[in-house]
Amino acid sequence: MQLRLNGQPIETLCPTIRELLLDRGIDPEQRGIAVAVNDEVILRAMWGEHPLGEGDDVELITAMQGG
Amino acid sequence: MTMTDNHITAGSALPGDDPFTIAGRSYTSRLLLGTSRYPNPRLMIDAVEASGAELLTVSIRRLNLGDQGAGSILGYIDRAKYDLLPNTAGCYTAREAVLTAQLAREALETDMIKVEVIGDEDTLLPDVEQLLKACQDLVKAGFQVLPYCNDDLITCLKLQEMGCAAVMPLASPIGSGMGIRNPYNLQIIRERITIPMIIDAGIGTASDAARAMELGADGVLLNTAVAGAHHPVEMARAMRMAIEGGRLAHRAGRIPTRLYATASSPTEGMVGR
Repeated sequence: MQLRLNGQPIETLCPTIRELLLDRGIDPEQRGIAVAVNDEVILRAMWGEHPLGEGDDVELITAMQGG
Repeated sequence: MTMTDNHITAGSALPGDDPFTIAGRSYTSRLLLGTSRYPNPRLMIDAVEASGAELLTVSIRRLNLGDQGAGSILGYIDRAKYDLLPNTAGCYTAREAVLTAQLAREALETDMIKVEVIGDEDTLLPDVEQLLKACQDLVKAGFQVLPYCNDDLITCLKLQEMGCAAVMPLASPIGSGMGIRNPYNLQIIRERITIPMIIDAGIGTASDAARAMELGADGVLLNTAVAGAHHPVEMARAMRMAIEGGRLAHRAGRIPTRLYATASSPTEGMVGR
């Protein structure tokens, strides 16, 4: 299926956020990251269950320098 | 949700002063420091250390998928020593600010949020209508809301009324270094609200920070004045001392200003009269 990850279109077969992160080489256990799908925050505890669907807009964030 | 333990030493930097309490947490330092625009991370950490600040602002941005370490600040900050205050910088609508705050809470395990909703990219002045809406939603969602706002009494009263943890009126535009443009507005806000007032944005040098504290501010939030100084670590220390000096002067109670001189030496027993 096609979805967007941080604004970039990607093709993936990953059914959940957890699998998508692992597939991209991102440790889903690391602290300091959060995920929203279609403008809704998905709690970490749900990353293994929340199903990804065609056209989903996935945002993966962390803390950067800020004032 | 597990919130970060309050590991900061309660008490004040000044003997006899009240601790600086915000959102139920007590801090020794009344300086909140930004982590942006330093020449390098080492200088950032050294400046933070020299400043004495215990509450540091960070932004929320997309993870770099090509290089996960790139730009992330969490590797540099010891969270056992410092609390993080995430911001919603770059948001232009209440909806964006609320989503950013929710992501920040999930990523950083803190319920504190500095709410910025910008209305214009050249001045970075707040969009008050959108700011009020975002703050209302976030207070209802259980956040400890610290809004960056105009130096406007009515806005500050509304923010207090809806349950914000503090108000953070600007001294002058973000990053301008112009210092306090309207001290009378800030003085009026301090006199009329009961929640903490933190002066946020526009501080250029140590005397600006001292002045903010003399006006009665409970704290000062700054970034560029330190990060952009020729010697950020020295400026961080200057800010720390200025804020302590300004706070002490405020508590001491300054003399009234007069148009004419008042002799400080005795006027009786003058030689030859």
